[in-house]
Amino acid sequence: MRTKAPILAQAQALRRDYGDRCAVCALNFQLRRGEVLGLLGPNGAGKSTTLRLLCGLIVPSAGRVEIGGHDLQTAPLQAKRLLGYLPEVPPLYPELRVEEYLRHCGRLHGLSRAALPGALADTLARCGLSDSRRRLIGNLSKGYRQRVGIAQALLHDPALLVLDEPTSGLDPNQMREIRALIRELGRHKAILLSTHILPEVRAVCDRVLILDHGRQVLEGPATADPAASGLLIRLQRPPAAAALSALPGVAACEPAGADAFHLRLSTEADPAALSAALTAWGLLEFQPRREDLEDTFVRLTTGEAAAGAPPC
Amino acid sequence: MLTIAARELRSLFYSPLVWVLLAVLAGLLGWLFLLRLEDFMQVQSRLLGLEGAPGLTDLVAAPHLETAAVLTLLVLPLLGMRLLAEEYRSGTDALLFSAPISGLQVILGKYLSLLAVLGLILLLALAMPLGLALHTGLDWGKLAAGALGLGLTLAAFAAAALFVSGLTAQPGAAAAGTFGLLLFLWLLELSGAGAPSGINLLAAASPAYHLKPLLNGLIDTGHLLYFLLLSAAFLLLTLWRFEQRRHPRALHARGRWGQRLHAVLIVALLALALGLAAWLGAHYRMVWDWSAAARNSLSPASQTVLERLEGPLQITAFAPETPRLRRAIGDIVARYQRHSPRVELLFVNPDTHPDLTRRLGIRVAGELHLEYQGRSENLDHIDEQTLTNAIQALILQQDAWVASIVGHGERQIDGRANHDWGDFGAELQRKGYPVQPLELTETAQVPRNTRLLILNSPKIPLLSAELQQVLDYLERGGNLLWLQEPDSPPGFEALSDRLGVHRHPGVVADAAASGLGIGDPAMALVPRYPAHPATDGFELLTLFPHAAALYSDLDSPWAARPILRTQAQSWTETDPIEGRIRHNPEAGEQIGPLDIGLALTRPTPAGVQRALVIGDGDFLSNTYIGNGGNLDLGLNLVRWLTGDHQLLHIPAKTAPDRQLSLSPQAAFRLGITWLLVLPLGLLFGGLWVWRRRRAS
Repeated sequence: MRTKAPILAQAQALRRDYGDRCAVCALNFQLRRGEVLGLLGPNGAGKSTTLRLLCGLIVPSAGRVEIGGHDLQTAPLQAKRLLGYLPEVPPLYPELRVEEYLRHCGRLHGLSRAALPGALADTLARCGLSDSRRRLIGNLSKGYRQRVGIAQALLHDPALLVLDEPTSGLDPNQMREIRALIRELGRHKAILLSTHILPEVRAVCDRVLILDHGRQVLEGPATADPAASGLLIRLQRPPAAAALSALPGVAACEPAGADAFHLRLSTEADPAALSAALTAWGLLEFQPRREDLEDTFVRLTTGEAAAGAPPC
Repeated sequence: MLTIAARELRSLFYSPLVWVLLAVLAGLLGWLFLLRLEDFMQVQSRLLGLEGAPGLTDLVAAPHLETAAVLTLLVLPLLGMRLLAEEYRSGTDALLFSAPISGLQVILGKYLSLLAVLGLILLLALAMPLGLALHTGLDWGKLAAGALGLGLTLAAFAAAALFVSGLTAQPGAAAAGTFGLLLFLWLLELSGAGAPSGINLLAAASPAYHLKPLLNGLIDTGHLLYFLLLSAAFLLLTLWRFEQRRHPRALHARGRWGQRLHAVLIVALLALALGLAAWLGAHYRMVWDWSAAARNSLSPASQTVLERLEGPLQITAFAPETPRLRRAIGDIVARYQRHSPRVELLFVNPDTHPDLTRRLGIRVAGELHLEYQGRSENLDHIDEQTLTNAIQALILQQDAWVASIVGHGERQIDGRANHDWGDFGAELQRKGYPVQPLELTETAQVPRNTRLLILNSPKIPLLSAELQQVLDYLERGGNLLWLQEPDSPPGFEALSDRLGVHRHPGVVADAAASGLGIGDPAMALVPRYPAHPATDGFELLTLFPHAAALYSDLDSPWAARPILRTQAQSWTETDPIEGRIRHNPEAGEQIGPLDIGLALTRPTPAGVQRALVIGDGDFLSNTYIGNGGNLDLGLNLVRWLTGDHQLLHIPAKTAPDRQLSLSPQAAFRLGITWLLVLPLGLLFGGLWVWRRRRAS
């Protein structure tokens, strides 16, 4: 059902160079309505650059971005009408009141004078800012500023929300509130958010896209990586690792201690047959081990880092 | 666009900066305005008696508006620096780029906000002269033109400030850059002062250069175009830079060169468009004079004179490199240049060209040397009346032949002998009078294009046919200069009778001559001249050796006026001048003052016919021409004889607001308002807004 939802944003062969460095290389993804896509990667992986490319803040060196079917280069105004963007640093004017600022943002995004008060009240309530509407932005705490930033992105009810580290600088309670808000919004909108906090991805994202050195190293469901599922076994009489990896259904075997091994299974593996085969070495422990996001993240990003800078 | 402008203004007026700036500006403007006003009050009694005097608008309001432009130049960097640089620095540009608005809207919105603040400054600056409207009749047209000029200047400043603000993410750097750019543009004007030619491209790039005519009340499409183009150019550059920021820097060196080439190309195209527009503006320009009585424009009389120019009129101004003097000259000549492209102005520093200065007879700084078709004229003071009349004289001289009769022992106009007039003839040639000896026997009549005929002390009588030619010439309305000597032969009675001028017998002896150490008593001195157009303003002593005294018939059709008159101690000596001589009334000797030169005029259908009879031809001879003011007198006389034109009278134009009646109470009220109420009001306004908002 989700796949039938319309594509709201799509990037094709997106690339952006900074001098000789390739900040984002050959990025492809699609985002549909009702989907929350998490952009994950270590610092400097090109997450913010990707989001800025998507919002038209910077122009790609190559490739294209489409929002709601409008090319961002050739029809920027139509495309940007569908867009709400929260940059890494919320774009706030400290000398304005919250209300004044949001009204300005609303007018900037083409909200009519008539529609403005309703949208304003709604957004303020949603972001928990109703009591702060008369306050000067410069006097707000970091958490509240972040809320104003989010309010700014939501105000004109865009179909696509692009959030650059929406929970950074917030305390745990505020984080929970914001995540709940994102999840709720994600039911009707397409949301692209970047973060380097793994639990956040698990908490709010449907899909995840991992970036490293500007390259897309993984795109998949946020929950786990099925291809990377495996077993943790302990044996009384451990044989050589080669013997274990020769077993049918075992793709790889890594020692995980004196008597323990990680087995990565191929897709056609039969766990029952495998456990029978393993009893020959005195099976002590046999537990399925699903590789979680963190493992995947660490494996992909450090592996690539070890392999050196990717050829772009 | 309006949303962006509104946001900018909100941000601006919610912060104390703009209030403080406005307060300081108001205080400074008010102070300088009051100083100027005080100066004006002190000179105004003298202005009232002066013809063509400037008024309050010229002396107070116009310089005040220029001051306002300069002061704004100082505060504008602080107002403009935030516009784009602050957005880049704080990251709020993300809001602009991700919103569905175009770059043009952003730039225009920001520009509008700055214009609004500058509009406020304009009103502030205008309010001060307008406050005087109750007390005097202002030159409204000129003030309006000045306001337009200031507004356009500020608009161009604003565009430049916006451009610099868009170059950097450092507001401080933007402020410094803006200040530098504006100051540079403004001061470019000074580079024109030392330039040899009238048009200086560097100076013409400065807004100050284009503001000045507007402050004088002159609306010139060329200057308006300059301001519009400058603003538009800076706005386009800002927009280009704003969009360019989002683009990646090229990866390869070749690509980088490509981008640089692109930038250079854009700037070159812009410069080309500017140049083209400037050229169009210069060639299809229209000028309106908004000042009261059109004080910047030529009178119709001068315009008519200019239309008769057939070639280039080269005006050389011998002025030291003082910008004020040169500008004053340039302003007046510019009025002529606007009407005729043939008028050219060149500045020469007399200190660096002493030889030229001496050769052209330049005596005072600021003297003008006019040259037209090989003829020239010097002017030692410049206003429309003198300049127009000089130009007219140069035009009229072109067919004024000066013919001198020869063949009867006359003084030759091209001769080198002591008694000849060769030096004077050469001087006449230099002044542009074509001089020619005339052999009457070779022609059937005196040539038609003769403007002046000289009969110069013939030693033998003319043949009767020759004399008839002279009489016919007079009958046709020709001008005559007839020089006689005490010993001139008889045979010219027909001419004397026609003119009604006769000669006393004897030589004029002058007792005053020996008092001056002149050994020859037969040297008549003329120290003073009657009020006559030919000697108007002429004050030098002239000497007439061996002159004859003249008298005129009362019933002649010619109006005779004595123009050269000796002093009371002179008489006509009929005995030979030897040993002691004295006045013998019984011998019929006349006692002074004696007339030795008579100017005759007679109205004719074509104008006024002129003749001059002088009882001496020696005073312009090669021997005596250098004595006293003889040469200058000779030139003056020839100028009068050949000038059948009326002197054009061009009324001086006077400002309507020369009188300001300001009671001490009213002056006090004005002073308090400009110096205290307004600046402090702005300051407290800012403080109030700031405190109220800081609390929330």
